[in-house]
Amino acid sequence: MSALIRVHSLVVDHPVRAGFLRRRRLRAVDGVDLELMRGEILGLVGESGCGKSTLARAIVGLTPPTAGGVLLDGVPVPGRRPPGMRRRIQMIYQDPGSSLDPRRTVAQTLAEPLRRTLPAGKPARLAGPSAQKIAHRTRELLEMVGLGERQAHALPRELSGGQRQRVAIARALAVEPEVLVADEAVAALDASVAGAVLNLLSDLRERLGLSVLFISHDLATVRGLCDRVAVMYLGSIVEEGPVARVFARPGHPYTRVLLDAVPSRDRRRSGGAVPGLGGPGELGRPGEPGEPGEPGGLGGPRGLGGEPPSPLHVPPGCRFHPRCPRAAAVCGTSEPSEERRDGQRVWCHFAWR
Amino acid sequence: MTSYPLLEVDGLRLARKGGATLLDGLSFAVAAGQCLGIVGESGCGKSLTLRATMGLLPAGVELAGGEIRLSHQAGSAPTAVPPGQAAGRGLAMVFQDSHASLDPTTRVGAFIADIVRRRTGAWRTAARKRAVELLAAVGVPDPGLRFHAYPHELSGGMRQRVAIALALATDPRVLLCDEPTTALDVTLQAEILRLLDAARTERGLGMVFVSHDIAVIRQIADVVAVMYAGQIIEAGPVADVLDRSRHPYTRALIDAVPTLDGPIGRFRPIAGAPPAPADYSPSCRFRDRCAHQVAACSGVVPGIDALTIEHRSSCVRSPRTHSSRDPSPYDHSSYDHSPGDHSPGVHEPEAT
Repeated sequence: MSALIRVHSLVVDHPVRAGFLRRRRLRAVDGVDLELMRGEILGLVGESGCGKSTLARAIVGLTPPTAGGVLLDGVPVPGRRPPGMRRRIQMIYQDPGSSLDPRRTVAQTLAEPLRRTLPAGKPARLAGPSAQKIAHRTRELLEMVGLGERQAHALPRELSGGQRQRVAIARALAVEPEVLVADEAVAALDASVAGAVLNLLSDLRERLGLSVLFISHDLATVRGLCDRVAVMYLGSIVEEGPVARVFARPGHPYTRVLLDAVPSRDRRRSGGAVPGLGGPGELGRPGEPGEPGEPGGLGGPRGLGGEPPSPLHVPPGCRFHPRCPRAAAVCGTSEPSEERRDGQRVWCHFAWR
Repeated sequence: MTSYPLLEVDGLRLARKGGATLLDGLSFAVAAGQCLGIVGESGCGKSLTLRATMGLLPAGVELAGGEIRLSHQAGSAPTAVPPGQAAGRGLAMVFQDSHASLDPTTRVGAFIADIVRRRTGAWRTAARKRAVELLAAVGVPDPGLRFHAYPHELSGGMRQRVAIALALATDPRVLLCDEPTTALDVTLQAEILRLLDAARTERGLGMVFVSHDIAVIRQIADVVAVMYAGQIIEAGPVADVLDRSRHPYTRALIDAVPTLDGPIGRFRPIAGAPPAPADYSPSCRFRDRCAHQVAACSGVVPGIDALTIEHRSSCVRSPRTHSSRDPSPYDHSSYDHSPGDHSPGVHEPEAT
């Protein structure tokens, strides 16, 4: 397999206001290297605000990179992408309710990209593809995502959430992309409906050889859908590797913490309703917010105190060390280098320990 | 030992104005220190149930019957509350979207203090002190400073904590939670669940927790009611309902949830979609999607109530209830509800 998309040392800054006439730059993505293979589904997980959506937008070309760049099939992607290149990477969003035009029927929504991309009819090249051709392809697309003729003439509001997301997928597929970037594409759906959409993505990958970058905060879904997973924290990838390995033997304490926080449908956690994660929040301990940074280890699993620090104040050394249950002195001073094992890459001074 | 529930919702019926029935005589009860989880797909009426209980009916929906009874004192029988007046009289609600419960133009501390003053008639300074205490109690760091923050200056997790402090400010006896963790990351979700659980244990709150997420319900609830198409179709202690489901819908709902352990395979969605309220029928509403359909499913299959914590299901194929030969007899020790002193027993079922 060759890398279809290679992201190298990608940096994305957002300008922010930091007081009167003072501007600062918020580093949302900080030197990310990532590869997406042909026909692969890669999961990208992390807490809100970790930069996963910004990374996705930079890959699709919606946000210009500050430094580094994206290679598509080995070819560097220029800042202003030519239409042919834009076509190859398409995006689906979390909320199809707002990404679909509420006043267009499904068929009209799908016809627009088709009008531009289908080869034109012979007699009048300027007139674009014939209506017949468009109708045929629309039917084909709807069939591909499991919708029928009945939905073709419906408005988005007449469809269920799952159906709307299928329309969004069909629209993305209309221009025959090679890569789909799905940003929390099923986060708003019920487990059952989400499952059907995820099976569809999986089938489309088989059928069309699509590559998918699947961004999610739901680790169980990522485990079920993806081949590989990358874990992002505060703008950087902290761990990456095959799903089965990463989930079975996480090398980074952050991955461990994320996995531990996922509630199980099959058993209640011992010791009360929710695990004995440290940090603020216990009633009866007023005024004693578990400051991130206090060394962990009162026995038992310990999780994250509080929330990720702002990307405006990235801690020195390992950026996870203030919240890390295993942090040592070295973590606060030097940035961890990459550790590899069985195709798994981990950026931690104490990987797998 | 009291056997009265704190909150009883009896035969709640909701309908669109001049139209379809949305909720079909829904009944449930919550005791002190008990958490009732209500789980189901979108559109099954679970959020509507909470809103109706709170007296917050959306426009175009009207109460078509039923009674909400609230106990005003520990150990006293619950008494009927006039429709739409339950809020503030012992009920408080936490919403999915914490923006919705806070005023964007008011500093969060002042907002909470205002509720405290209205509620208790306390002096301004006393109310402020109480507000800071509440913020501290829900784990807001630097409560004195955050007191002066506007909602938009807080992160999502912090805002949800403030919303919980706000709900607790009215000294409720029952807390209604409408998907309070759905919009949060897993790490924050775990913390908010822990916070709610602590509030319940310490204050002996009754809690109704609505979620579409079986895994969350498993973590927080003692008793669960599974809703489908405006009815409760299975109810009982969490461990019984989720481990020994009697209704095929409950089973399917559980199977649809991906897990972190177990084999990796295809997702297992439930085929088909729930019926629209206009198509609600007296027969089993799940039968078109059910793999185990029999003739009796087309007969009258009513929903069940969750007034007791006995494990029951509306499915015609499930073992009939009220039987001492029940293969999964309910007993108190089987469900881990922390301090045993406030027993979750609501109308104790016949001894098994």
